[in-house]
Parts: sequence; C-alpha cells; structure tokens
Amino acid sequence: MITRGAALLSLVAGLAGCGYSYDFDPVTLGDDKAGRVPEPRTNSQYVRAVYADILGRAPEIYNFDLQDPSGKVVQQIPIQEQTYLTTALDATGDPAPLRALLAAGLLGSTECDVPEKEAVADPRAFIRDQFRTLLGREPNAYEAFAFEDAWNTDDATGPRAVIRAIVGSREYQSR
Amino acid sequence: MTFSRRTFLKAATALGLGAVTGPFVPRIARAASPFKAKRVIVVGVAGGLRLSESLGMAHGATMPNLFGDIPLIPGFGDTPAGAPQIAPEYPLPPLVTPEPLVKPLHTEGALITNLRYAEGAPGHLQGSACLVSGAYNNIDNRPDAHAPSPTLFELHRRATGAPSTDAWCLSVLSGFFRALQSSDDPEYGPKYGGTWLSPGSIMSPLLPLALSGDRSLKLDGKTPIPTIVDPKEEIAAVRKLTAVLDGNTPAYQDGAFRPSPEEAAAVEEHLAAIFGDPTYGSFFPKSFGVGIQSGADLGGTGDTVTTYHAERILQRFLPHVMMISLFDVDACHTDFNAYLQGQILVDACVRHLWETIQSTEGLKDETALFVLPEHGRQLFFNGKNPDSLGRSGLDHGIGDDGDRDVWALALGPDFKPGVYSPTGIQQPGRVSGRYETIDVLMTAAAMLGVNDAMTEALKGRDKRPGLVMEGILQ
Repeated sequence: MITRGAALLSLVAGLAGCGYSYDFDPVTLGDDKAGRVPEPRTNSQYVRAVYADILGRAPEIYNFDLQDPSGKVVQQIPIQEQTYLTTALDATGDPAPLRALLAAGLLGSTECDVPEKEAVADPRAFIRDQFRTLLGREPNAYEAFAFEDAWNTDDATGPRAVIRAIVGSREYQSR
Repeated sequence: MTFSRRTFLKAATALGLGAVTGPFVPRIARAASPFKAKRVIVVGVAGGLRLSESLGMAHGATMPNLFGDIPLIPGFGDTPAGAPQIAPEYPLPPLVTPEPLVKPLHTEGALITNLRYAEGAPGHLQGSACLVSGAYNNIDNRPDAHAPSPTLFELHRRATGAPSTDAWCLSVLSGFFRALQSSDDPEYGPKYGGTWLSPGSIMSPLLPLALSGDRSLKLDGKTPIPTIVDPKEEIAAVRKLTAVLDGNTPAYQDGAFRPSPEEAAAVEEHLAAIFGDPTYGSFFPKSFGVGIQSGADLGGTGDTVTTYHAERILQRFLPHVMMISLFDVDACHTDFNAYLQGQILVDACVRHLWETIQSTEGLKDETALFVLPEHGRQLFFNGKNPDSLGRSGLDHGIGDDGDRDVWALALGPDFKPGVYSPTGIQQPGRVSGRYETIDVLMTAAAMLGVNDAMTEALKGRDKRPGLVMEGILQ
C-alpha cells in the first residue's frame, strides 16, 4: 500500500533530483474521515457547538425580566443556558429529538439572522456556505444535488431546514 | 374446545421450555393472546411506601381514591381512618385534588395486600429496575448502569418488531435512571430499549424563554409569549436531508439506545406540540387538577408533572408498554408530613391516569394497570425533623419487613376483583410463600405474550423468574 506520506516523500525526492533513494516504513497521516468511527458529542459539547455556530456566542448566564405593561420588572428568572439545556437533554434517553427542537428554537431566536428562503438569491452558494461553516468541508456532489433539489422542490426546505439538517447530522454531532 | 387462559399459559410454557432446550430459535413467536388487555402500564410508587401508612392508614386515609378510608390490612382497625394526620405546625402547601371517589378503585380490580419485595436492595434504582425487568437486583447507581435483565420494553419490541415509541419509560428522577431504558443483554439491549424521559427536567417554559433571544418579556397581553416553532413539514424536510448526510457517516458503535429517524421524528413532533403551545398550558395545565395551589395557578410536583406527561404520551402513541417511576413520597427521609402529602398526590395521580385510560379510545378496556411501591420503608423513624405527633423521617434500605412488605393493585379487564393475601405460593427458591414483586412483572409479561422470553432471559442470568399470578386473573 502506498500511503500519502510515502507518495509525498517520493515526489519530494524526485523534484529535488536527488541521486539517492531511501526506503521508508509506510507512514499514515491523519485518518480517513469516512473510515473513522464517530464518537457522539456529549450534550454539553453539543450545546456549546450550536450556540457558537448559530448564535455566534457561548451560552450565558443572565436574568430574564418579566415586566408589567408599564415596563416595570415584576420578576426575574435566572437563566443559565448551558446548565439548563444540558440538564434537559440529559433527561432524555436519546437526545436527538430534543437537540433538533433546540436547534429549531435557536434558529427562531431574535439573535439569529437566518434569511427567509425568498431572500436567498443563490441557494447553491448558501448551501455550500453552511457546509463550510458547520462541517468545515464542501458538500460532495451527491449531497449538493440532494440539498439543492430539496430546496427547489420542497417548500419546507429553506435556510432553516438546511442548517438544521446539518447540525442534526451524525457528522456534526460527533467528534 | 375452549382454550382457557390457564391452558394457554401451560401450553405456552411448554413451548417456551422447548425453545430453551431446542435448537437456535432466532425470534420468539407470539401466539394469540388469551388476555383482553393488550397494553400494560406499571406505576412504581417510588421513593418507598410502607404498608402501614398506605393500606394500614395508620396516619389517616392518605390514598382514598385507591383504597377508601377503612384499613385493608389486619392490625389497624376496621373503622374509617379519618383525614390524613398532618402535624398542626407543618407549613402546609395547599394541595389540589378532586373529591375522593365514593367507591375506591381497588374494588374494581385485584388488590394484593401482602406482596413481598423479597430480594435485592430496597433502593430506588434497584426497585425501579425490578419493575421494568422482573429481576431482583443490586445494580449500582452509576451513569452507565443497565437494567439487570431484559426489560419489558426489550422483550416486547424484540418479539413484535414494534418501534421504540411503542414502549416508554417515564421517571421523575433523571441521571442514572436512564438505566431503566434497557439491559445490556447481548440478545436484547439498547436496540430494543424503551423511550425514556424524565419530564420534570424538560417540560418547562424556561426552554423557550432561554432560546427566544430576548432577555425580557412584557406581560401586557399583546406581546407574544416565546415558543419554539418546529412545524411538522420542516421536521420531515430536515429528516430527509439529515439522512443524506448520515448516509456518508459510519454509524455510532457505542451501543447506546438510538431510535430510528422516524421514531425520533415522532418524538420531536410530540415535543414540538408542547413547546409550540403559546399558552404554556401544555407543560402542566391547570385542568389536570392535581398538584399544589400556586396563587391562581396549579403547581406541579415531580409525580404530577410526570403523570400528566405520561397521559399525553399514552393518548398520542397508544403504546403497548409503559413504566412510570414516581418519587414524591421519598421526601420521607426528612419530612414525614410531606410523605403523607406525597401519598395524597400519588393517589390522585393514579386515579387521574386510570380515568384517562378509560376515557381514551384505543386504551379503554384493553389496558392493564399495575400500581405498586418499588419497595417500602424501614420500620423505625430516623429522628430527623420530628413533628409534634411524635413522628420523624423514615429511611429505606436495610431490608427489614417495613422495606419489603408492600402491595400491588391491578386494574384492567383480566383481573378478578377482590382483596387477596395468599400464602403457600410455592416455587424453588421462594421463601416468602407469597406473591412477590417479580410476579407482577411476569404477569405483565404474560399479557404482552413475552413471559416465556422473560423466564428464559432471567434464567440465563441466574435470576429467579416471577410467577404469573393466576389467582387474581379472571
């Protein structure tokens, strides 16, 4: 088997015009992503990740003010985003449904600036942007086709659904 | 020839034994059931409840909807026990409960007054694990714990191919109570597990408030209250696209419970209906009518919120198996009066649950409900937080008769109404001579058609299997 490391060394040797050749043991660089066994992100890791990726900030601790009609604060509810959301997710046998709901909630947040479907002039570029931002890679041809096709044929597939599909994927939810 | 339930069970047992000793049998065949009940619900009055305070009514009739007001066990008199004796100095949280039934529920079903939780630690996880698996056990309270033997969820799902939304486990306690979801039996395990939820930790307006992006809300009747918008069509669209991505990623190999995408979507839709309700009434509505008075509103406790959400799930999914693990009465470690109040709420919750079952098409007249303490409590007070009536906290765990003498109430179309305290029940290894906690689970398993599989699985783990409680069946 010729590994990428050995091939690279041969290439470097060739380019240098070196008269000597050396034998090296096979070298493995990194891991083939498609071959790795994914390890699920913990609920705590997931919460921090979606906050960073969707809201662009870490979970925070603050008081939520309940106001009377005049604007006077009548009650303060302490909110610890990380603790509360993680506790809720930990109270499910499988967190996937609640994680999906949480992502829907974040995308509906007033802090989140997700465009309406009609406002997206170039769906292909939007989808590619989300893959790069959330997965750190380009969509492969099959994924690009599937996402673009759904965008064009299904009214329910828009920016929210694209982002939710990616953050709901095993690839995003694993490390 | 009539094929009675008794002959059916005997025949099925013979077939089951054949399966054990015969060649490899990949799946358990299910014969037509001789039971009218197709669905089984087990309610564990968890936290530990003694016989003396429940059936004995030693401190008043705390469970009038289930048991009326006249003690049902010897030694506690035969006259009305009167109202629950709450100490006068106790700062009483005002309870909301309906007027008790004139005719208590036990008269409709079979009440076993001398059930024995015969073995295993009288601890919360161990007791509840027995109520899902039919196995006495001493499992550790650890995050990676599993039920000690295949659960009813696994047995049912493996036998029928039912989805995980057909088998639910609801628990007041979160954390390591996830162990109740499944065993680690290689033949069963998480792939056949039940859907586990601890509703009290999830069902709260805090989630939509925290996710709203706002830090304040004007309560002027015009400003919309934050909800989570998660329409069904979007759930379907997301699921389709996520499947595309997941097709390129290897599956997890951690052996954890994971529902299929369809099952997960069904649960998400259920949650979305609750978190999308702009009245917030779906978290715990006033109309439930059982809880703590909180101004003009109804406040929930662990047990009342869990029971309410159990009912929502029952009505939506019509599952064949559900286990509900309650917990309010465990306040007794340090608060005897809260223990009595917890019993009042459990009693009203079980009544509400049964009335919901009997008023829901698809559940009515085809559901068996078993209610029993996961274990009892010790025979002596621990001296903590004494009240003016000479009572204090009660612990559990040493395994005395207070810990182990309990009861079971069975409601449903297959039970012969009556009050039972049989003795002379024989089985190798059974020293109690009585019906035991594990028998309740074996009877539930028989109703689901998986008693042979349960027996086989228990024997495979050197556990004594329970007996089908023939004496209380029609």
